Amino acid sequence: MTLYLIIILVFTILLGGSGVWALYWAVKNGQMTSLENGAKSIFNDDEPLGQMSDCFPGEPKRKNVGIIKG
Amino acid sequence: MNTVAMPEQSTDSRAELDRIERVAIDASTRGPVLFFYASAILWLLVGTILGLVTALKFNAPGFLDAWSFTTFGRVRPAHLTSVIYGWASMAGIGTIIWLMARLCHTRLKNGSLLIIAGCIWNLGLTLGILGIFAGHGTSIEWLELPGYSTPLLFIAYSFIGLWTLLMFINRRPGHVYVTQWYLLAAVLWFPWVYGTAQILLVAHPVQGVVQAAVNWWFAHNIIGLWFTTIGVGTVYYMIPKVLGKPIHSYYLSIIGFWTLAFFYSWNGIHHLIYGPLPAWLQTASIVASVMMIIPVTTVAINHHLTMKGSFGALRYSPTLRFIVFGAMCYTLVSLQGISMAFRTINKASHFTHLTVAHAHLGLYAFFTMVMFGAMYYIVPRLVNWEWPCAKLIKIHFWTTAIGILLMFGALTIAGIQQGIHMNLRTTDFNVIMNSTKPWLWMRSLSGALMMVGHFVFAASFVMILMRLGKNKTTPTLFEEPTRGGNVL
Repeated sequence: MTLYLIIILVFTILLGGSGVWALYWAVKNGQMTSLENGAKSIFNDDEPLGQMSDCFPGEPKRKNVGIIKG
Repeated sequence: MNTVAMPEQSTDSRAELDRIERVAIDASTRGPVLFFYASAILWLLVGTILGLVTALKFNAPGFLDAWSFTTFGRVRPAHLTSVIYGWASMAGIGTIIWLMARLCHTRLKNGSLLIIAGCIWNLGLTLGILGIFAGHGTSIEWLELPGYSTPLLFIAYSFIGLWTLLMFINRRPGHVYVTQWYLLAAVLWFPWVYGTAQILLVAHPVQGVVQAAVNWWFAHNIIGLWFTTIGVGTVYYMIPKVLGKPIHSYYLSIIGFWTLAFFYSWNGIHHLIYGPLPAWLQTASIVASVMMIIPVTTVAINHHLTMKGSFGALRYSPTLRFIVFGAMCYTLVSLQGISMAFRTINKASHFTHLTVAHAHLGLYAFFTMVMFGAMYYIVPRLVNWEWPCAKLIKIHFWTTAIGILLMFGALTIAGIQQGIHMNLRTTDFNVIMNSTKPWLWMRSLSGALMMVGHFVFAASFVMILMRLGKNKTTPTLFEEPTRGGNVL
């Protein structure tokens, strides 16, 4: 049982530590700066801002439903 | 796993390169994601039927009680296990694979190994559920799978976790989107939570009240650190992506993620308020539960303000309908959960149907609806074909949305009646029980309505896989690349 507890504890510390490290890395790496660009990182020229990308099949595609061009 | 560096080009040719990359990435995830989705839907049907049988047993206690394997004590855990580890987990894993590949701009390599992992997961789960029917269930809530089926799940999961991590490690350099944080956390948390509980409750069980403490630490974390992270991460991708509009406040989304990571794992003990546990442990859990107001409100504000001015889009996008419904229910279920952690409310709400209402609001109205939405977005892009019929999607949405709201409402009323009267101690127990009867009938009816929606969805899914129905006249699909995909 003690062995199992040690294993669990080690993994818990590793996981907790990796969380702290991830936060440190994110700050150091500049992930927390220029957040506005971060929000736009899921768009590109193929799937651009301002274009809806889903519609019911066979029904007309509606663009510009209150879309703000970025 | 290759990443792609995009050369300087004009907008048109950059779009073309992006398109080639997108098509290649989707093609690499096609097999595993569709396999996980197909398995998930099959488990959803199994779980729904088992759920309905369980519900009907409340209306007619003698229903299917002739055989030991169809008694309440076995059908109920079989329902729970099939929807958690069959439907919800497999749908979540499929979504993780697709989103990770897309967001990391990475092709999934050796995807067939993930299909094998999916087969092993299905095998372990089938074995486990048959074991539950045979009476081998552990009777530990949310962890009912017998010990002999778990190693198979672990083998399967190690592939899934490793592949997701490899995609993340090999991502294209640049910004890590908030969804990636959520998914990465989910992938790392799940084995820790499940493994710890498996060791401390099944392999070498701890004794006494510690067992209950570990049980609820586990059960709540499976919801909070596995399903919630996948669900919220998916919403953070789908709403902006479908609308073509960035998330309102990216800053809030980051705050939300890190506060969730910090507070959620303390919440589980609020299931044992007034139990024989140290009072400080219960209080710490209540405090952490209340602190969840930070991630919950950040997510709610963010999603609402992103949608603001675009609610009209709900009429046009099936994905958005399911996702926004799910996101709203996330706020609702979280606020309800926080309120239920207060001692004064918990005194009445615990051990009543209200807990069941809360659980369904979380795992169904929030998570399941988000997964339906994600599937409506992802599957056409993988199959290169359109969903067969808009009407079927609408039937699916309305039956499930009305069904779950009815179920939640009925169980909430029944639970409040139970809670208040049982605490008064002046009302006869049989009277309290009889007063819940009409609401339990309504629960069964709402379950039947949701079952109709599930079968309609399964039919749609089979049709799109077989490329039946209308041709791809591209409402949801983007253009195909016009030239060869040798860039990758």
